[in-house]
Amino acid sequence: MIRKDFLSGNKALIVAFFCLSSLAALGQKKPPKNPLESFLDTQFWLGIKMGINYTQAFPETKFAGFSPINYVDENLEKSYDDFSLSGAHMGLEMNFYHKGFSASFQPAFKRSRYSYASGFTWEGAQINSRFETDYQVEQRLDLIELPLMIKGDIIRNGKIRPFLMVGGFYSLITSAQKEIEISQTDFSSGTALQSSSGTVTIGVKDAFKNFYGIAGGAGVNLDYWNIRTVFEVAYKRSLSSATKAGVLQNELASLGEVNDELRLRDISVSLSFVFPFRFIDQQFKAL
Amino acid sequence: MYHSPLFKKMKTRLYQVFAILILLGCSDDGPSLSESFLKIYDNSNFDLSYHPIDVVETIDGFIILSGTELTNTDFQGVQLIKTDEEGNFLSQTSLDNYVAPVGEVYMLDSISYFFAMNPTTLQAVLIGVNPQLEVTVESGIGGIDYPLASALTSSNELLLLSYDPLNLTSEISLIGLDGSFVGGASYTIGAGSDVEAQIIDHYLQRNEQPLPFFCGELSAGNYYFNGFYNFSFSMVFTDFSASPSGVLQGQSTDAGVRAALPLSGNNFAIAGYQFDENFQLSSTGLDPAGIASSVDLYPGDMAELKPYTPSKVISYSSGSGNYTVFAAETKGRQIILYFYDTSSGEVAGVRQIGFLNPYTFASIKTSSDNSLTVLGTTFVADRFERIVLNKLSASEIDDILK
Repeated sequence: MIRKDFLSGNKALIVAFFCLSSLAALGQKKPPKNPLESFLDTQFWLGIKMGINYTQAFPETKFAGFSPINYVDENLEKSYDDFSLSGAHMGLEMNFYHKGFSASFQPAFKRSRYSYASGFTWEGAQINSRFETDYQVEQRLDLIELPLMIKGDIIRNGKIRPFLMVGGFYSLITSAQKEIEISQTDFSSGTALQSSSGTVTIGVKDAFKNFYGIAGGAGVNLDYWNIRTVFEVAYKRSLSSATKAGVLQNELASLGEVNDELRLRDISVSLSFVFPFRFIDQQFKAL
Repeated sequence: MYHSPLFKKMKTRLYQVFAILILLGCSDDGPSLSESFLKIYDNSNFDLSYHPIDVVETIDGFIILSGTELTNTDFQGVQLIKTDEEGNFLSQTSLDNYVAPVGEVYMLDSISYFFAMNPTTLQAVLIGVNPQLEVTVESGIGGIDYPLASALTSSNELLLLSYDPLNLTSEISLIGLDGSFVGGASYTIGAGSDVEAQIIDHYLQRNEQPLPFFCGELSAGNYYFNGFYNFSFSMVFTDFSASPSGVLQGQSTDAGVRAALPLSGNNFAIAGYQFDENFQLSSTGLDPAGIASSVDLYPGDMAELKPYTPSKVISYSSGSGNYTVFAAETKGRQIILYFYDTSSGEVAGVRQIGFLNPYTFASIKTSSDNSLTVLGTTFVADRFERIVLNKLSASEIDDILK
């Protein structure tokens, strides 16, 4: 329930990490003397990256859509499905490689999806005075994800070069949609009468905010022909909330639908095709 | 290679990216939960519904006055709900000895005052509760029955509109904070007329046409009320003389005024109705010493408003100017707020509350932080009527007014 300023300790550390890592990667002081050796040890790679991802929404602070008078907030908690819905991402991969290490900037357009369920029950004095609702919610987030990773090759020679990577990312929310499937069970007729109230889909971008986090993973570079194929698996974990905590949206208020304070965790599998960039560098024009 | 133009260009681009990220991350998250919230107070009781009447800001949150069903009478029971400053439910209490709670609720010296009725004697009762919902004032007002509406005066006394079923008069009274009768006047509803059945229906909320009782103060010693007078439901001006000083006549209960706010001079903001049509006048002149008819004020129908909608008119000031806020219900069962520029009379902004499920309107107040607090109900799961409290922050209102 406590608002967190952007420039909190964690967030400032991440920004610093971004800056330092970029300087470390780019701020080398002395160029190698031998151009051919340099070509082998230092290289830019540029290409496209695509893949699929699975998201887990981890509730840091839970909020109730209703303010209950005669029961506890816990009755209104949502149950989240972890890594249950696939998303996709596609973007660029820009690697600066130097002697076994790469600084990799991977801006991508990404769609993340997760789902959760909630339900409420009202009961009266009579046994038939009972009504239940059930909400199945799918949340879709469209993001521009800006990861900056440091990759370290485990094997530096050969056509197959496995690597490990760590880094951070910043995600910009571009749009968000919530799809809510509503079903009800009415016991007033003496039997449980189930019915559907349809599906509601609305834009909920205002309930979300940009977030940042850390990432790690492993992969393998496959150097065949004149391109490098990169296969990698990454795990991303946000360190800030992706939601504006406790904001009850006008459109969804009477459904009792409200976002928890969520930190997103993400497993992604990606395939990249990158090309050596310095072939167009003037210094190596003759090569 | 490191000094190549290409490398320098990429390095510059990376720094630009980081600068943009930092700027984006510093963006405002919006108003805090105490500045802006929308709360729905749910009760898991299938058989229960709430009929909120008014809300008042206290030193540590809000108190909501509501009616609710009782098993031993058809009159509404008196329910009080206490929330914190973020609108979260804290506690509730029912005043079992009284029925028919009447707004508005006013806070003076940490005590929130309102009127209710003794279900046996029909006598009006002044009730005061502290922020912990403990009753500190409980005073029956002798000779005054059927309380209908109240207002706070500039001298910190309470103006009470009531109905006298024996003498067939509407009564307007000044009541001290201890429940003492300070002064007042009674005016006939019309010889041979009897409106008791309509007043009982009004209490029981048996139909979709609630009677718009209200009262207020024009200046010290000069008051107005909207109630039964001389065979019609009219807006009556009085200085407590034997006869009203002026009347804006309605047409039976089919046409008249639903809410009014005195502006400067003899100008008023009026929310009126003409049978099942509604109108709003951001400023119109009314002579408190003359006789006029509400039908002459009717400028045309506001088709989006629900017939016989509950309405309120309040004033609101922001950095950009002074505004008159009309609150009502739409035919689509949303709460709608119209912001009129008080000086020009033109609409400066509109805000609707509610989307999927029906919403009803009960009351609107300004809060100490220049926010607006809107009270009403919504139908959870399309069937359970629950109280909704929506606080709009000053910054949100500024956005509406842009």
